[in-house]
Amino acid sequence: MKEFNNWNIDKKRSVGLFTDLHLYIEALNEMKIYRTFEKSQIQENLSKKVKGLIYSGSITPKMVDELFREMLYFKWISRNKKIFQLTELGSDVFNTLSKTDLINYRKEIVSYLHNTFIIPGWFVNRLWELNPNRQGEIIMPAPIKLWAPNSRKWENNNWSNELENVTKSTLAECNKICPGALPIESEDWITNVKKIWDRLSLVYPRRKGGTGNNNELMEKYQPRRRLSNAMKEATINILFNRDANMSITNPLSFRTFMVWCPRLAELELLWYSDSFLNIPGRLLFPTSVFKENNESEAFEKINNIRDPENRSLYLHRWSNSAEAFLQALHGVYEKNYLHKRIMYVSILDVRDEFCRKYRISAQRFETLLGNNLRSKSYAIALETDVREDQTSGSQQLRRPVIINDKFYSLIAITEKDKE
Amino acid sequence: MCANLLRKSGPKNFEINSRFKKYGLTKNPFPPIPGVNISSSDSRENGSIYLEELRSNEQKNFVKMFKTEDASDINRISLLMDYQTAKGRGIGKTAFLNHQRVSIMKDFGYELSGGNSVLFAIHVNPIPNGNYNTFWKVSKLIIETLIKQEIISFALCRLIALEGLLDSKILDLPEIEEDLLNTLGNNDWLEKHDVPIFTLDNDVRFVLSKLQIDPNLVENLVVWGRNPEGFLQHYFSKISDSYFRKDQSKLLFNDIVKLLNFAGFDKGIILFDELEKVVQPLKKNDRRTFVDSLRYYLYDDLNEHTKLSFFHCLLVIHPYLQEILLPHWDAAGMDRFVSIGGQLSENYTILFNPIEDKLAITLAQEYIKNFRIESEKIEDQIFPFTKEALKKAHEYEQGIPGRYLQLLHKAIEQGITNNWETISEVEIESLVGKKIVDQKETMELPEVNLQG
Repeated sequence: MKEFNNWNIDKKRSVGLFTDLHLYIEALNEMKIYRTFEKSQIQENLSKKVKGLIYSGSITPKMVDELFREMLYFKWISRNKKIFQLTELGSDVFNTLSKTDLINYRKEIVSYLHNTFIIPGWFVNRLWELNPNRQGEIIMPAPIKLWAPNSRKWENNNWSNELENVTKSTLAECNKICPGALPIESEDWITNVKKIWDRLSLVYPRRKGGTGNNNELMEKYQPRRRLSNAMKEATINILFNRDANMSITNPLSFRTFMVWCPRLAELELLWYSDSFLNIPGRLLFPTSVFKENNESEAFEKINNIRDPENRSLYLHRWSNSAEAFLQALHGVYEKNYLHKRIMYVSILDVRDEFCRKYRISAQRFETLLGNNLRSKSYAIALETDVREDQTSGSQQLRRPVIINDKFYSLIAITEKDKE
Repeated sequence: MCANLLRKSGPKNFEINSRFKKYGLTKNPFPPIPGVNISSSDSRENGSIYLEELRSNEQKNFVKMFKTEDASDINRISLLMDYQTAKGRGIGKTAFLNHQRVSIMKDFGYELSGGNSVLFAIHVNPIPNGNYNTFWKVSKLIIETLIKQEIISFALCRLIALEGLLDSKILDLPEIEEDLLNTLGNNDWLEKHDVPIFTLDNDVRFVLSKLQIDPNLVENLVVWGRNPEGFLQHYFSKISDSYFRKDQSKLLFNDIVKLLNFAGFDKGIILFDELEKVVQPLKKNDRRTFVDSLRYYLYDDLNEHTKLSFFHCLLVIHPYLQEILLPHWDAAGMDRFVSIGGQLSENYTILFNPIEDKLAITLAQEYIKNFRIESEKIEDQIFPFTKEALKKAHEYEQGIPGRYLQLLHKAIEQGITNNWETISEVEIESLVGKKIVDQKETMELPEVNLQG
């Protein structure tokens, strides 16, 4: 595959708005059966999806359109009006992907994505640029947790002192918890958030809809949700979009950012939290880095991804012993235990903190844990029991912990008595 | 085999058989369960071990509220707030309230009011999930407490004495002053002193009829009034909820006030503990209604209580409850009567702060003293603890007495199990060494450096 050593390429913007990367192999698997095929034939055989703890249902026609568009970009399929055909390249790719393990599958996919869209490598590099002192930690902010206003009438949408104070406090809080995680000047921040708030306030109210197909217009809106959306969009605009010093223009919009983050997390290039500790918003940081050369076992090279300085992209992985992993895991567990004071703590919280401390992907964590459940030094108990605090909307959507194909929600670790 | 199944427990000699003999103690002197349970026979739990100096400031403020020549000057609502813990646990409020109730009831407020008034006090404890979404349910709770804590019975006994329904030779008997309820309230005792119960009941009936209160109440007071369990069973428990709903708290604020006032009481102090159990489960509108009702019945309504300014409610709150009540309090105009927040609230509020370390040592000493084996003659009053150990425990529990005593209980148990000679700072640290971790303000840096 052609290597690109600068960001200035003729790149595509129209990434598909789906985040499940197993769709590629599933689709190729279906396509292999037919000599030629239409979209609908492939769609009806693709499996239904879940997101976190929520069943999200069948893949939609729109998602199939976008999937096909990407595969056309990759040149895995060709098209003659409504009829499609697997190319020789597509067939080779299928043969490779179907025989490889998940780690190599992801590496293959990320190469194609970077080759087509440039975003994977660019995004990792951008995170490092934004907060080098904390190894690329960035927060996608949401309003501070203390602010919980009631819903308001649609007309009551003026920008107020209250909104300004909350916006300012959110910026301060993010940078207090994680210095440099939101590297934006206060005035710039407030101006941008206000601009987007005002724009969102002009949007015509939607219909109530629902099961009765209610045609009445919504009378009220949720200020917290609106401000949250305004903050996210402002952050993306300022940090990932309009900066004149960036080598590519308009790399990410609000919509595409929401797709790239989970995709790149799935591809192990970065880690992206749903909710994390006391952070108002989401934390993301790279679990990969551009290096000139590498001799450490702690890094795996991804072929075909280089930055403008010709450095290759490397994934970070755990290279210490199993015992060291368990000791580190116990340390993270114990901190959670001492904070919550209950034996079984959320394995999602333990996973998130472990990944943050040791800069590995969620997938690597799960593999490590799955391989080390039987230990001479520690008794590890995993449970699948969704607790009351794990049933709120945002908690249900968290990336689950899957170990040896089973979903778990709780973990307890005790040290065994030394003989 | 059969002998074991039918045997009874033998007499306990804690001095000889105590597991805690090593420390010169008959048992673990500290309460195993945090909190006060006034019905418990265990002196560690029922509030009988009480150190006044621990709460000398709070006591001064409490006395200040009631020491006045004219009982009608006493404000109808005041507040007691836990200042230290946002959700109010372990600071010692219940112990304080229990002590106040016992002190007032021992002489009907003679000491508290400087001899100017006759007072009674009840300690009201709402039950969790009790569903107090309408004010009549709160009134019903107060009436139930008045019965269970023997106020109605005391009132009947006083009425009998003050209305001259008995011969003065009987009223002069010293045992009456020592135990009013088991003398004037006990038909067996009265009969032993040749008092014809039938005649007495008729006299009481006649006196009560002058009060113009509910005839059904009169009849039940005559028959059961001096017997709290009987009054509860035969009268109170038979009143339906629909009666209370229609009654709109008249039973409490009219009839019962008339009875109590007629029995010579100038004021009734309602120590309303754990108000959060009433308020927190309510929806926003119901909270507003609750405050409105409080204002109506205590200040605005034309009832016997407002005429006489009879009840004083000491409401126990904590900062979180203050936060949720404040907007409704202001909206109902209650801030004109009692300020619940802001600077003016200091005039109506007893603030509960954590205790200092010196007092924590004295508190531990008081508990230990009650369970010391006398024959052991141990001079060190806080043995097996050292002063530093008690200070450490106090520091760890941030001066919250309930939690502090519980930690000391645990320390004694561990000391016996692990055969500690004394319990010093080191032993306390081993119990609490892995401190509860609070989330830090700034996230720690990662353990690895990917660029390194």
